[in-house]
Amino acid sequence: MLQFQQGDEASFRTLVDRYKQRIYAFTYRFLNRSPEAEDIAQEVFVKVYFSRDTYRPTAKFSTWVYVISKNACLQALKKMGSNVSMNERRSDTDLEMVETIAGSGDDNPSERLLNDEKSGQIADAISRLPESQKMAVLLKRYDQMSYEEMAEVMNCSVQSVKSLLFRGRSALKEYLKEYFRED
Amino acid sequence: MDCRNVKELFSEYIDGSLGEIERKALENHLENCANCRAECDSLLDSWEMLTDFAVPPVGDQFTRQVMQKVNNRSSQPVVSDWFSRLVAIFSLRQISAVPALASLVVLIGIGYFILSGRPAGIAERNGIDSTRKFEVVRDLRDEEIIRDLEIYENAEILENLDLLMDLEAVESFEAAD
Ligand SMILES: [Zn+2]
Repeated sequence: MLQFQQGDEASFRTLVDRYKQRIYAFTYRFLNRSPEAEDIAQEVFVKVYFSRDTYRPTAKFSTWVYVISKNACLQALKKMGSNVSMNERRSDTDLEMVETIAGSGDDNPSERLLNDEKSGQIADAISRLPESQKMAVLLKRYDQMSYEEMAEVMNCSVQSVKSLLFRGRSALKEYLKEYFRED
Repeated sequence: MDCRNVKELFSEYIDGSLGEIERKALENHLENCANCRAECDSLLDSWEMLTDFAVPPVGDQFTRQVMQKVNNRSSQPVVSDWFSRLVAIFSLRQISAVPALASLVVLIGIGYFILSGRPAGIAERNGIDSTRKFEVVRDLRDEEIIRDLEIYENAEILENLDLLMDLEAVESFEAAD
């Protein structure tokens, strides 16, 4: 990061390569699988590039990237407006997405479809959470952040983080109840 | 520990962040309370289920596209870069653009009156303006996003606010006259 701060483009490229899948996963999940999630993830890195001078070496670089990602997602949500139009657009890309998941191991198409269906159920449940609870759940579940890191990213106290996680988990338990009872 | 205390600790228990004593007390309670055990299990189940939220891999052009965006934007001439930043400040939050533009209109209006020496109409314009001002304040207090925005986004909003306040200061100065 310090290298990149001194203007080294090659190290910026390395940085993008290192973080792109994580940041994309975050925007993709936060924005409820919106087709714009990849573009927004790219914008995160563009912002990282142009605001590299505001990065303080005392802060963990990944935390800083997540702060920018969070802000980008919140702004995108505002721009997108209603979730309805987002869901409509999403359905067009679902098939495409099933294709792209192919690289991830299992070649059994019915299993892939099943996975996609499951992803959809989870996505729907997560999208019902208020933004702050959703953020807490995602950072904990998929990015394995500590409470302290989450507090820094979310700009709130550790106590708030715990309380948001508590409420997010309880809500998800209710939303997902019917699905894991079927198994 | 009663059931209510125990339930409050479930989330931290799942994260493995409870201290030794609390954890043991909780596990002890779970062994003897089927109700809490069931609830803890379903919390764990749903938390585990989240693992299945698959994300497709990023496009293989991702990094190249980022570099392209960076290069496009850094090669822009200074003036247009300044202009697009100004636009970004206003479009950052559509609502705050309204009072800013309203203030600008009022300012131009006031300038026009001063230049043409006609004070009529100022009172009416100030009426509109005070409701706008109220909107800005309410907006700042209520919107969670403001509190959440950090680093340079913060700077952008402050710039925006500075601009608003400058405009409004000029207005009230003119109005007091
Ligand atoms: Zn109990």
